[in-house]
Amino acid sequence: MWTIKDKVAIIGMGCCKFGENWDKGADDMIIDATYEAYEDAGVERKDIQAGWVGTTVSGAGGITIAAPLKLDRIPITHVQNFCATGMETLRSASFAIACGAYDIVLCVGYEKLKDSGLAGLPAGYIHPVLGVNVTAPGRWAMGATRYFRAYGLSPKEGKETLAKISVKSHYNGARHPKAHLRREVTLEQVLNAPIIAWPLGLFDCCGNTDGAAAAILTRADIAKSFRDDHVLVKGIGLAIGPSLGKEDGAYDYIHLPETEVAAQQAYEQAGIKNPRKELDILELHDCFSISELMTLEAIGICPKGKTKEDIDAGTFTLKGELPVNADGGLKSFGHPIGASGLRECYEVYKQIQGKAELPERQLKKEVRLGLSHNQGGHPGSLLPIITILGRRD
Amino acid sequence: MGTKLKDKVAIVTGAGRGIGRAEAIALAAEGAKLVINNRTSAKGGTPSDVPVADEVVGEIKKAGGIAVPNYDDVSDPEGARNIIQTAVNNFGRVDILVNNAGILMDAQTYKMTDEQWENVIKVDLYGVFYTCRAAAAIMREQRWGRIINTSSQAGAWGRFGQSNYAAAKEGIVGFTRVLARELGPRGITCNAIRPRAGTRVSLSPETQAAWEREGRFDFIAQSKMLKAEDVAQFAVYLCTEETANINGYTFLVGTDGIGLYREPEPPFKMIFSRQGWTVDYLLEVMPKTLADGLVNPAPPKGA
Repeated sequence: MWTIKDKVAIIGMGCCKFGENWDKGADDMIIDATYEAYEDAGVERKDIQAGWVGTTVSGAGGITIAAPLKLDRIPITHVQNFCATGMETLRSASFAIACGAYDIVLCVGYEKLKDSGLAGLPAGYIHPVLGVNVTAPGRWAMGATRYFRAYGLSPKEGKETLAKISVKSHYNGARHPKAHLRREVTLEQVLNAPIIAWPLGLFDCCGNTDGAAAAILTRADIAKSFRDDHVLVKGIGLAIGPSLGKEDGAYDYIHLPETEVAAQQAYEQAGIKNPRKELDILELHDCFSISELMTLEAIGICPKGKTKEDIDAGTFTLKGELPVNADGGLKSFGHPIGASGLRECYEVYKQIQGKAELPERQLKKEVRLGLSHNQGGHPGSLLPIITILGRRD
Repeated sequence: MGTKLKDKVAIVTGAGRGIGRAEAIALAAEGAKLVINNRTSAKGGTPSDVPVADEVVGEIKKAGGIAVPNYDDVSDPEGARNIIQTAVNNFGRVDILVNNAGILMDAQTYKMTDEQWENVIKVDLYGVFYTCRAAAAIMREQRWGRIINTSSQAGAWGRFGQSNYAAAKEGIVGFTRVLARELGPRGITCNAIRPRAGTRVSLSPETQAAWEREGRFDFIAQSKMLKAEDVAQFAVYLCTEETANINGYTFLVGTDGIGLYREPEPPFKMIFSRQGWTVDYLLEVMPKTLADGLVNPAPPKGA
């Protein structure tokens, strides 16, 4: 089997301050993120041979990065894959590197949601029948209520379990200087918050954020000439479903078959047999608290219906056995749609290098292998990308 | 002390606790002379063991206001007359009537007792009629008056297990709409409010426990955030000189928002016939017209 494992190296990454950046336009944030990546990689603008840019609603075409970064006459591709757009830039660019077409490429993901006339997630294409009345929180709430029912959680238990995820995310985000929502919240605050779509309250939903993140990729065999602690791509999985959940009356809304397959693809490439034991850090797409919970089961970290036990035991906290969303995740770090996938990789990349933003944020254990999961859609119609990054050795 | 209601005479029923108490205190704070009604004994519901009306009177007097207590039962026609007479005897007139007294006796309709139905309708609906009847006679002669009747969201939302309460509270809305048109020409306004406040009625320990079980912590938090004092401020506003054009309306009143209800309109969709109707024809035409898209708010569950 052909695998992308150890063919592509990340030699530089950057991430701007996420938030409601009223004082910054998309260009400012693209420059902040990319220049940090240039400096991190020790490359210059002229070294970039090709570019990939991801944004869902804040622009179209390669010019969106060529203009602010003054990239001169190189191929640039604009990609869009819903909320997984950020990681799609890395995925596409990785294959271009792996096939030998380029030596050094740039990935940029960004979104400028504030001052754009959008109050929430943009709708995009809406299916005239299956898409009617669909909202992201609504569909994930359906998943949550079915989950409670299927695994015997009372409404109170279920709500409290989800709340613990958000408390953890805010705790982590409060410690990251670049995160959007940098305040801890208490379990009580989360439980008492206004409901968006029961059981999902305000604190079960991710931030609506401006931000940009960037990565510089090169061939693994020449990565050493840039730095010793480059990070290798170990596996990438993408499994877009045919949206059958909306048509299949038997679909239960608690399984994420697309995510299961994407994880299998990535694990196979990376040679991972026991993800729970082998992975050291997870960055999951927690657009809603329930998404983090269901994804933990779909990627084989927790047995189906048993995630509550691990949440109660603190398995996924900063000091726990397997930290999840150590940077705060979409919940607290924020969700600039096109940037999120790269932001997740940014955290894994830094943790693997032992260079987490602020030394006290560095995980106490050795971080060799990390998984980032970026997704679009909702249960029944999902678009997940999973990228596994690992330490060079 | 404010002066917006200086020398006005106001009656608040069920003013011992909760929203009524807050309304009484707010009216007195604007200079009105108050009759604080709260029954001390009753044939049902949850009457107060202690004369709480005295406590509220004491509180108002302490703040420099004027108030007298009354312990009559609004569900008794004589009691209601006595309440109005208390105002006349003490202060010589009646300018403002706030009907707030109300009780709850929840039960699903199929097992609701006669007593549960009658007690709620008597206090919550008859009580409003009895006091309005007695007060209207006096206000008509004075050619000025303000009546505020307390409805509820129970009927508007179709709240489970409250068919008696909803019947009374929706009855109040219709009653108020008619009364407004009867009394408007004499300078009297009548309006209904559907208050939102965390009181003994809306946030009982049983309700709180049920919401906790259901994981609706947000309901509890919201209920606690909704203050009777804010409902009271709106009630005072409706009693000012400035509200002469507000007559016969229904308002949703809560700490975080105040809403004006749409008055009932003609049906928004109609089908017409020159020959009348047959069941067969209705079976054919209704699904394509009026019944198209209708959703059962409580569809059949399980087997």
